[in-house]
Amino acid sequence: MKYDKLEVVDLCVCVVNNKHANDQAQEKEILKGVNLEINSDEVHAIMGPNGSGKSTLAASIAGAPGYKVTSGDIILTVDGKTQSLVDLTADERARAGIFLAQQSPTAVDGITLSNFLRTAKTAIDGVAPNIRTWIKELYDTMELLKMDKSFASRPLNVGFSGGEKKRAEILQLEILRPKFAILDETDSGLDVDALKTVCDGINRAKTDAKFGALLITHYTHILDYIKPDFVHVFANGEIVQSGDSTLAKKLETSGYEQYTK
Amino acid sequence: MDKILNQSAKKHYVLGENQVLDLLVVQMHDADCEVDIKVDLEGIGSNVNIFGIYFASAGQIIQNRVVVNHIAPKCTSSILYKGALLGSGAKTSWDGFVNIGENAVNTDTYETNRNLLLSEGASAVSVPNLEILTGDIVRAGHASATGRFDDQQLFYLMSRGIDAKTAQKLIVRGFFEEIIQNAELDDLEQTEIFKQLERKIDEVR
Ligand SMILES: Nc1ncnc2c1ncn2[C@@H]1O[C@H](COP(=O)(O)OP(=O)(O)O)[C@@H](O)[C@H]1O
Ligand SMILES: [Mg+2]
Repeated sequence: MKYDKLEVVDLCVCVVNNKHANDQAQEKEILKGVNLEINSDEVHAIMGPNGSGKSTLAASIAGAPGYKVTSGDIILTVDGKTQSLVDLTADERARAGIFLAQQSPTAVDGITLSNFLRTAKTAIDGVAPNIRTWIKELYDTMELLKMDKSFASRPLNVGFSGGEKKRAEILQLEILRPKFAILDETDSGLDVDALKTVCDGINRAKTDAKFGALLITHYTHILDYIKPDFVHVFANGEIVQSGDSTLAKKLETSGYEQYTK
Repeated sequence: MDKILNQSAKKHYVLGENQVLDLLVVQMHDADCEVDIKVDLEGIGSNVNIFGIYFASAGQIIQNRVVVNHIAPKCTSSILYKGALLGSGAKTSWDGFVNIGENAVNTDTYETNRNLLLSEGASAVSVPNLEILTGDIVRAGHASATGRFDDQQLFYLMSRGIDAKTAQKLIVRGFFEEIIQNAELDDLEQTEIFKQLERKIDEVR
């Protein structure tokens, strides 16, 4: 079987701050040469202190505005087709198989969760979902995630609590079935029960779609539910150590201090 | 329902006892446009409902002015305008004047203008005015808000595979939905508005 692959090669990224239109755009280098190779069905955990650039890495792969790749590459191979993502727009990347669950999912007034999801599903699959089965699939998945049906007709993430937003992200993950899923602190802000519900959802989606996953987290707790094949320590814009799941356990006791000096 | 569709206009209505006026203003075309409406509620128990939908593209200027004079008692008025702006130099202005005269007891009035900025370089001015000369009324209110469909929101939709123009269309349709519902537009009218909306978004670059 041919494996799909997501490679990050010597990636350097600046954040571009052009708040003041007439000033010269301020650029600050955040990622300083990141290397990573994720095969389908693998789980890579990235752990590291706040401000080390983990979300920047996630945003750069997904093509978020405000980030500029200054050198290096992001290369995606799906079904034997290899392409660089760097010059693709965010929607092109998503249709190529990338999914980002944001650390703080954006609220969007003017579109309901269900309309959003149906439009996204149509865009990703290239055909509209079967009307007969669509609503059932949506509601069944929501039920598994312990989301009330009423969320489907609410404006996307507007007034959702932190935990509800995270569930809504995993709902999208389950429905859209990407090739690679980047989950940016999906565990943070969830209580024990919600964490289990959300992790069950991630595991269901992964069993179903066999995607490769990049799991960004602060805590080792999520790794009890979702077993990582690799653990990477991230500090100051780069991966400073990699290992297997035992590395996470070590970090739990030692902390990140040793890496930030 | 009286309609002013895709053209400049200046209209003056005088309503008699228990008379009802429903009015729809649509500005979805590409020319600069100025619509001026004045309604005098002279008869007891008269009622006016005004709805407006507009979309300013790059360089286009759309101006609206609505004056409602509550002269007689027990009259009601409701004004709801929503506008989208896309492109550099897209400009809209909205001035609402509701005047509640000293004899207009038991007046019930509400005026609302909401604007949605879809890009940088567009500007919406919105000024709802309310003058009240009698305190013996049911309700008098106004609301004005300008929201933004920003880069982060656009990215979020795009990160789920939706292209930028489809994302903008979805958002503007959702934004206009309140008017479509409240003004009870029929399918044909809705279709026409959405067609023009899609054309305006497709036109960009
Ligand atoms: N848009 C931005 N403008 C300026 N600085 C930013 C921006 N986004 C992130 N940063 C900075 O980049 C660094 C890394 O941030 P981030 O990637 O969010 O880290 P993490 O996810 O590891 O906590 C931080 O110092 C943060 O302040
Ligand atoms: Mg972060």
